[in-house]
Amino acid sequence: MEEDFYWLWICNIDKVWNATIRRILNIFGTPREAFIVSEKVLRSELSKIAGMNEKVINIIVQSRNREAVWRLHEKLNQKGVRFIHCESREYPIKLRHINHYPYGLYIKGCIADLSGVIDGEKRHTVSIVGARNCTAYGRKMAGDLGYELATKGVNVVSGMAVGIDGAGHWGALRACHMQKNIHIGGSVVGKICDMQEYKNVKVPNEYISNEYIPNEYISDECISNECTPGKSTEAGITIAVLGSGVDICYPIQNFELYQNIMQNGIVISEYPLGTKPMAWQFPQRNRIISGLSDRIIVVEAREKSGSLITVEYGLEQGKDIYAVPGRIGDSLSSGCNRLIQEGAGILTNTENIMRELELGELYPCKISKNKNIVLEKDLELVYSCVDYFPKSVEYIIEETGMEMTQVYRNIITLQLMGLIDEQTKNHYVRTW
Amino acid sequence: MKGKSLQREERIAIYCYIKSASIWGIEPYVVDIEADVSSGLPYFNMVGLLASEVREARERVRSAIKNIGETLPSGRITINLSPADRKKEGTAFDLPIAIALLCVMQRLDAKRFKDTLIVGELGLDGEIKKVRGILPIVAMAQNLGLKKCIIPYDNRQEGSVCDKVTLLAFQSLKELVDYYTEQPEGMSVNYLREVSLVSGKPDNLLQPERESEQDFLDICGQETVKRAIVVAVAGHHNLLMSGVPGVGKSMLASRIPDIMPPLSLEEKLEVSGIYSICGKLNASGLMEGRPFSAPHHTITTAALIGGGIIPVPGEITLAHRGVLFLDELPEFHQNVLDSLRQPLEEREVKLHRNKGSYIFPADCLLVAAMNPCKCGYYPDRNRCHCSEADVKRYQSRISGPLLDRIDMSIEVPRVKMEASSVLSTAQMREMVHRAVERQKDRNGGKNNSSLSIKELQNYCELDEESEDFIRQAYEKFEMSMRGYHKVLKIARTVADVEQSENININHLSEALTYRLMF
Repeated sequence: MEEDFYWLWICNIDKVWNATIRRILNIFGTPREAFIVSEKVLRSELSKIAGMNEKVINIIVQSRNREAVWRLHEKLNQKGVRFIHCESREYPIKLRHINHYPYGLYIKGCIADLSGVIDGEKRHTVSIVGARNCTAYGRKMAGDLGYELATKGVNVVSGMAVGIDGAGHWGALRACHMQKNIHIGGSVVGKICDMQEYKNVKVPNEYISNEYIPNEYISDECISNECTPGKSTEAGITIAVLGSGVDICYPIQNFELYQNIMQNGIVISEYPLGTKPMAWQFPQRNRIISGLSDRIIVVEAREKSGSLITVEYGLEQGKDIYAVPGRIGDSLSSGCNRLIQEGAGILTNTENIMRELELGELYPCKISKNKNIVLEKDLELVYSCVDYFPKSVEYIIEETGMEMTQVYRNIITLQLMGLIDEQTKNHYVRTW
Repeated sequence: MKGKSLQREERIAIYCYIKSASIWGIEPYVVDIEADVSSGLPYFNMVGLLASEVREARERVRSAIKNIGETLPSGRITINLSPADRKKEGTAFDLPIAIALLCVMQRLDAKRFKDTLIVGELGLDGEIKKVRGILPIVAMAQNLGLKKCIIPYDNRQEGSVCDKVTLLAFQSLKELVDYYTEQPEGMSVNYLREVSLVSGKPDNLLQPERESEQDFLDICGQETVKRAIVVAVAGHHNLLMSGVPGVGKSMLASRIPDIMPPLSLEEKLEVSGIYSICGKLNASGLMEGRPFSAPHHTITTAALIGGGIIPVPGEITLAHRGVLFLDELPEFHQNVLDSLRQPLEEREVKLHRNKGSYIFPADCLLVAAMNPCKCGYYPDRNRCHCSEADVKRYQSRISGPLLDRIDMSIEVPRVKMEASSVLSTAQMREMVHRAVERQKDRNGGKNNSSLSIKELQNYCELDEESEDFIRQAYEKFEMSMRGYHKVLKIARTVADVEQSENININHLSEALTYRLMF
């Protein structure tokens, strides 16, 4: 307990980041030592560290104030944030093994025992990363992967950015919600969080539009497979690693997601409370994403993508990399395709994800969904024309050779059934 | 005694007055021009709340009179333009002032101008130049029962639209003076003879209606968009087209006036009058086709809806009875777009000045075009690198209230080279014509887009199946009540285009695909 106090102190000194902490610990061994030595010794020892200037030394010296640290401790308790350090029992062993592991982690969410989640024998953890400006295809793939993994009890880690990251999280949350029998998406969005603080935030349509299908469109088999409520521990947990303090939601478009993860998953960060999102912090947090996971899936990435930083960390840490292949010539898939060329695993199927990821059939699936959707001939024809890349009406008319008005009718009907979605004006993508 | 009185008579003011006209907003009004020469130091004064271009008429008139070989009387000349409390603008007063002076000088006989309205600008050499607003001025003269109008020769075609008034079109002041000194009074003249007599051959006035050089057949593919255009025109629904650059949005828009129902004679006069006032009427006289106005996106509010101390009609009034095409809609200034809200709703522009209010007609079909995002290629992620937030930001440049007044939106996709063109302008015009006829019979002359809620309930009855369908859609697409009404109106128009009495699911589906996305 006393140790926790000193760790909290050393992790919360202004302008002192992970690397500096390491240097300080190299000299003093433990944070406690650094706290209790006399000011003279501290100053003389600190000044030996390369790159340390008078200003920072002053800050460190002044920060040795027990009252201030206790106040901080109070604040953490108030905000429901748990602080763990690298010697805590809850600190994931997997993370401990990486280079430059973070000394302190701030955790907010439904489960405090991070180690139990990450290192538990039965658990696997997979991260889903990718571009922020993704295509509907990428979003769909990330969502499906997140869902499939979570239903099989695999934890899903990502960075809570817009695009692929967000879709991955939502996918995993969906599995979680399915278990609790809450539908998110469609026209029914459960009001789970308190939105008072950020009234103007609306959930982006692309995340929520694709799950809820009215029962009458699904064949009987599926309904009988409906999940039983109350066994939420079965589903994998989603973990968001932030590049800002855990009390700051960035980007703000993901506020609903942030709230949802807090209810049903874990939000973690190595940065103290109130740290603003700065550009340099995001590549840094990628090492935690890869460090927590056993496998890394890259869904969509351009040739030069931030996701490839995660991949590099992952390779350094000896994790397996998988990529979702794309079409040749699609710039958003060029990064993934190159990874495959360089030896990354190829995901060809979201259904047999455990086999694909070579994780073995550890968890028999508790939640199943059946995709046997029976459609009329005309609807089927139009539906078959639409895929994961946006298709314009003109294209569908040409492909099917049907009358314009018929196509319009079928498109609207399919939309009403929730099988396709209008991504932008008159461009349609599959959601199912 | 007698000699003394005569002497006095000569010294008493010599006075005459001439009728002229000017434009107030878009309304013509009569201006009486009074000229007076009294004894005193040589002086030329003009009064009557004059703008500087009217004040400058003094110099032009002086030179013109000198250059046709006349000499101004060496006395105190006063010109008054009445009503004296209205600000006078424009150059049309040069000629009547000159004529008034010539009458005062007794070079011309003032009696012969008693029932004559005179407008025209003068050059220093006495040339009569064309002026704006001839058509409404001549029409006003006709309504007031005036017999003759003297107008510039270059404006003769415009003036000749009104056939109950005799037009005299001269090229120069010299010609006019010669004509009036040589022609004995009482000889009735008619315009065509007059023109041939005075200034050579008349032009052929009544040209047959020219077929437009452009046709919808010129456009590759885009059948869905053409269909949407037919619906938009038929029901007078404002239309927003979005699409990547270079797929033919502007081409499509510029052809829309061709498929609109032809203008009636009154409408032609109304539209031509507005163009005449703005000096934009081409030489052929009446406007035959519907106007098409496509202002650049840097336009100011005043230029779009009209403005100025004495308001001048803006582009939206120039598009009256035609099409107002706003290309690159998000690039327009926010406040400019917002100023369109009232005119689009009420179909007229109201401008208020401390000297009075002005109402300009603005019954136009709004057609707007935009790219889906800043670079123009969204959702093609190979070319578009805009983030979702960028796309949203770009689209949100158009304010909600304006979007509310746009009824339909359609995507203009990229087309293949070999795409064939099916619908021609003639076919589309026919489709529109039939739909409009149906509407007129049913709605009592109203467009579908301007139906009231009550009328909607009467004319847009749905059967059970359709009712159920639209209810589902209402929930699924999270529509507003206004959006729902728009869909109903558009469905009504689609049914009209299809010559169907009732609205069915097909019509509703089509209307739903045209609904606005953001």
